Amino acid sequence: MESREIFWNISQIGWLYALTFIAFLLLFYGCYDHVKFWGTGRKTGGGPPLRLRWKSFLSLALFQRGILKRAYPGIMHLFIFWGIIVLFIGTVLLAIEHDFLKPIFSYSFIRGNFYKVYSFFLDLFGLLAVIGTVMMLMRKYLFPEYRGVRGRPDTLAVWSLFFVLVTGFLVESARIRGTGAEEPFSPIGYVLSALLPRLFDAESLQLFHEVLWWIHLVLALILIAMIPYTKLFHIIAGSFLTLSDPKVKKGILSPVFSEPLRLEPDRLTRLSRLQLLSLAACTQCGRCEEVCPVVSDQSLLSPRRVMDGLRRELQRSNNHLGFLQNGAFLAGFWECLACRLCEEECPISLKVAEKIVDVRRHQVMALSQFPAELRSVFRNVETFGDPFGEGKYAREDWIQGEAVKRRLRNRNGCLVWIGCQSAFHERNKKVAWAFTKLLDVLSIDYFLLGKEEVCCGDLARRTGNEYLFRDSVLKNIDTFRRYGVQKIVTLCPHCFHVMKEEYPHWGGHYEVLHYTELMAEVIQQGKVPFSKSLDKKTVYHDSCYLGRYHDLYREPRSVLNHVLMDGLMEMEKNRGSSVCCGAGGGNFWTRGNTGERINATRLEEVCDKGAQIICTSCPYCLVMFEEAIRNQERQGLVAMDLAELLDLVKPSGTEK
Amino acid sequence: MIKIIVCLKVVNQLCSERGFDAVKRTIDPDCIVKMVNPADEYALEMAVHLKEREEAEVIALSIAPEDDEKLLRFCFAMGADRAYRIWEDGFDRLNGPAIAYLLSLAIRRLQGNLVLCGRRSADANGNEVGGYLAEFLGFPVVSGVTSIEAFEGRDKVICRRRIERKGWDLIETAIPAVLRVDRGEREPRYPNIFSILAWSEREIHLFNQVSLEANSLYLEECNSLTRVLEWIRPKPKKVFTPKSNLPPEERIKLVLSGGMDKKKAEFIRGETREIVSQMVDLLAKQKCFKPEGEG
Amino acid sequence: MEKGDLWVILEHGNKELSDISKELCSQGRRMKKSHATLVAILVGREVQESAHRLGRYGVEKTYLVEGEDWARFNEEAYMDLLSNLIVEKSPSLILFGSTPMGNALAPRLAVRTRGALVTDCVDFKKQGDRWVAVKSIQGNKINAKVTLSADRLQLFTLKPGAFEIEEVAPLQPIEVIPIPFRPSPVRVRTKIIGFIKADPKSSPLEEAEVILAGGKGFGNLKEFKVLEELGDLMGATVAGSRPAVDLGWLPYERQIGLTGKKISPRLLLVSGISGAFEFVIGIKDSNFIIAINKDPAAPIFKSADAGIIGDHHEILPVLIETLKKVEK
Repeated sequence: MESREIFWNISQIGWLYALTFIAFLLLFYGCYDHVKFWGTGRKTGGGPPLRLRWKSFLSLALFQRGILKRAYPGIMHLFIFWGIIVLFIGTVLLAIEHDFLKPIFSYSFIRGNFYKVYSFFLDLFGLLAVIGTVMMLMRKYLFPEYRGVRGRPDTLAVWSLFFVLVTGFLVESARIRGTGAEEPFSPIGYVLSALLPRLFDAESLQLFHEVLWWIHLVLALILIAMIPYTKLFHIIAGSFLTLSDPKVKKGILSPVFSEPLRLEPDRLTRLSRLQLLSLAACTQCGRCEEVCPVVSDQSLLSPRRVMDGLRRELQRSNNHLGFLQNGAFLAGFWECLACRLCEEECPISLKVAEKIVDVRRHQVMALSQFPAELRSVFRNVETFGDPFGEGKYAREDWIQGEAVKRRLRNRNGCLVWIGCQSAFHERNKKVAWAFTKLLDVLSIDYFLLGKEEVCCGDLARRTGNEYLFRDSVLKNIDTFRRYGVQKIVTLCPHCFHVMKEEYPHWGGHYEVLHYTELMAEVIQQGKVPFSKSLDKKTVYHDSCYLGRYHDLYREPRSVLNHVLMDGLMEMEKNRGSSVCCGAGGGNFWTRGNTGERINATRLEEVCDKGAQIICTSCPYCLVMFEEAIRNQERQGLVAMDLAELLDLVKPSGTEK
Repeated sequence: MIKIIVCLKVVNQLCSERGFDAVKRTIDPDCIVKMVNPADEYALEMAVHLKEREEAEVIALSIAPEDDEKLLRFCFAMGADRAYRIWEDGFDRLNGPAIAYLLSLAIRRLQGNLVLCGRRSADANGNEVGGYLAEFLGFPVVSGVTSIEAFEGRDKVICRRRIERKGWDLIETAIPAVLRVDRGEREPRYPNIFSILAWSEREIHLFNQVSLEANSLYLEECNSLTRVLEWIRPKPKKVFTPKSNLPPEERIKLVLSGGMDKKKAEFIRGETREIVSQMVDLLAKQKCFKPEGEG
Repeated sequence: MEKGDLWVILEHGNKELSDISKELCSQGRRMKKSHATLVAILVGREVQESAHRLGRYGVEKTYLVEGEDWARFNEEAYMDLLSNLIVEKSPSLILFGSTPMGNALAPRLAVRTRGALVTDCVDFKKQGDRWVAVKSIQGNKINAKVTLSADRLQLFTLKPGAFEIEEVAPLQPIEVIPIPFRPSPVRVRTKIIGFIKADPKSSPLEEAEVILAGGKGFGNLKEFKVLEELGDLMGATVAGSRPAVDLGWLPYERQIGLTGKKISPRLLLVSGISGAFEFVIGIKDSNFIIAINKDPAAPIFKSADAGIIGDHHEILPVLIETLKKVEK
């Protein structure tokens, strides 16, 4: 058959247009409200190139890469998403032809073979959509711990969708039966239509068809109108978000001040447009909450609740963070480790951790409210230049030999940035020493700044003290300029991250490497006389800043596999899903038990593998693990830094 | 409206005794850290806190060169309303009496009702300027104030002074007065960014000898009352004198080590009773065995 | 110029002379050389007896100001008294204790008499016929030698505990001269109008002179309480490392270390703490540290002045017993 009669058996078509008009009116009105709200957001200039935006849109929105990280919900959502899109396109094509092309140009295209293909695909995707919806309903009722569909609006939406789809098929089958059409290429409708004669006679069939048709229409229009008022809005917000805010570089925070030192009036009290958009795009799926290491009985923090709470409160206050004066919202805020597991797990990579840090900025800078422990940390960095409060004078204490002392400030080769942890903390001094010895053995030319180093500032930035951060950055950039620094190798991933990604904003452009990158390079070039001689069972812990922030997974592993006799053991949660050691986000300094609790869990994982060495490449991780090992009195397990490990396997004959 | 004047000093604090070269009698500049005297910060916090409860104006006053302004501004951002700086070439060598003289001229000029200052500075450890100020100005002085309760009418202020481990004295003093602060009950607040930014631009008014109408002869006289000749190493801590069960060489080694260099604990081993009796000796020597309630 | 007398301004407790007064007298005696007489100024309610006993510290003359008016230290009254006395008797050197009383009086008297003052002296060195004072500065890390301008009244406040007390056999009986002086009431502008008692246990850690620190080594709260008993006996404050606070044995205000407080007591007794960096960084400014630990290789011994190898579970109870006996 040529095509189908669109309004077969349907009279009073005027209502269709009227109701559609109303539905779309409600849709646009609701969306306008949202857009107006986004308008209250701060403008943040610039943005990534178009190419990246499209890439992000395709990947996350169209191909659903993020959601598909988990099989069941991924497929479920994929079916629904594509099902609805195809059905929608189908309807739109129909409408274009019927209301526009036919009357004006007397042109129609939904006929013949095109029609067959068209109808087949609509049926197929309709079926997929039904399967998806049924999967969603099953998940909601059989596994209530999954939070995706919760509350009346959500439930109403899903059931409406289900019935829209079902009635759609029923209507199709009734039409096929009623018009006696032969449409085996509309398989579902065709099959169903065969069942109908048993239930209805010709007249009641027509009634059945007409009633269902209107039900179908009304439910569909309800769904459309509902979009801006419920979680369904993520359809629009999410798509826009992937277009506007692609994940270009991870874990970078936007600066607070404009230069010369100025604070825009709203900077600390209002969120930006993109941030508001991302709050609207959050579907409260709860994946972030599932993977967040802090979430537990002992903590009030929940990244999901942060997103939800922020959205609600900001809508209520018209995008003003003043509501933060009421402390209740902030429960658990300072326990966030800034590890970004939430951002990685999020299906559309919403920047959850970034929002928590933004709130911290407001707290610290606008209200001067922060945990008491941070007070002395801030003071120490301001006065002494390091969070320990030891001072410039003690920064070179870790150096034991004359050879290394000669490297101080002699401007040859690349700069090795020691950082505060490795310069002052007793445990980490050994790592600094091991690494510099290594460089000497490998004849790599380098120099140290020693006393000229000042805290890199990561600690200040992650705890929201942007003023202190800026101060530290400017001081270090000035020092780098005076010493003509071009290439920096850091021991600490935190220093690495800020110098690489965040210093450029203030004009500090350098080639920055973490030392594991340097080591990997060196091993690749075959310049290393190490042999596979270490026969301990070793496990490697990916630190948050090297791993999730920078995807540096391969480098440390290539180094370790080069020296370990039996190769490296992997923990179950490794690479991107590696769990933070518990020291991030300022938690090394703030008192909460959070850090230790998280660390304990992570340590269990290590011990389950029967490892003898847990190898890290971050000074914070090292200290945390050592403390946990000591507290839990684990025998036979030792925490070591990668540099120390390499130091162990140095070929004999080199001076100790 | 009460004018509270807070005197602040930027101190050059020695981080560690290692920075002092006992032979050359010099201090390594790398071992010096500049900060606002901690006691003065407590004083400023006290003033700002009082301003929140009573009608008052907080004026910060400091003898400091321009280079120190950044540090001071951050401190002023705690809540000072106005700030004044006294400086002239040669003012880096002022002693306690000279400092107090200059401050008193400024205070009189500014017509301060209540003067708050730290009791002693972390570097010079003068422990005197507050007292000098009181005499120069003719004000009563209360030392060791830990918090200010309230004004009593227009001419009195009530404050608290903590007596270690026992409680607080409630003191009433006529104003104008000088209050010397060691450690207040309230920790100095961390200034918020708006305040910091405002203070990064606000003018700090300048005073010098001429604008203060200082008597330069008298200033000279004050400045010559005391003079620091040089720095020397402190006497070694009283070393733990071990019981005679150690061989003489060991005992001599202990006495000679003096305790200034890296600590090396000398060990007591043995029977519990023996250990305890040595401990009691030690405690008595350190004069820290003092039960509660001693008058 | 004829040197005037050397005065020492003494302080008196409820029943007897305070230690600082004895130190002042002894030091005064040592510094007397070219001054006319060593004179003590003693003010108080019932101080007659003590005045006569001053001879054994080398004092030759005492100006005694006694009476109900002088029961408590009142700055204005003392200032009145002393400035008048100084004008009348013209001493050339005055020693005070670096105490609340001494530090309140000395600077003010210095200005009033146009004298020169050095506070917190820990030593004196002779230079010709003048004294050069040595005072501790920079948080007791170094000392400074300070000279005073000549032909001025020299005033010094002496740091308590820095000078030896020496008793001597007096050559002549001490001359005690009562000074009748009534402070003018009009001049009193400051008065103590009350006292608010505080729970001695709630004093901040930074104030404590003697601290007992305990850690995980105690095992449980019951054992930890032993430390509290010792603290009560010694008048010391009990604090702990982070594990002790995390385990709920102490409130956070009592935590010492990297994420706790930095303390500077006169004496610190550490037991049941291994001495990791995070703890040790908080105790570096302590004057004297005693550590008790079973393990001779424990890192805490690197920071201790005296180390006791033993089990604190055994040692502390015996220490408590012994101290109780000593008290009696």
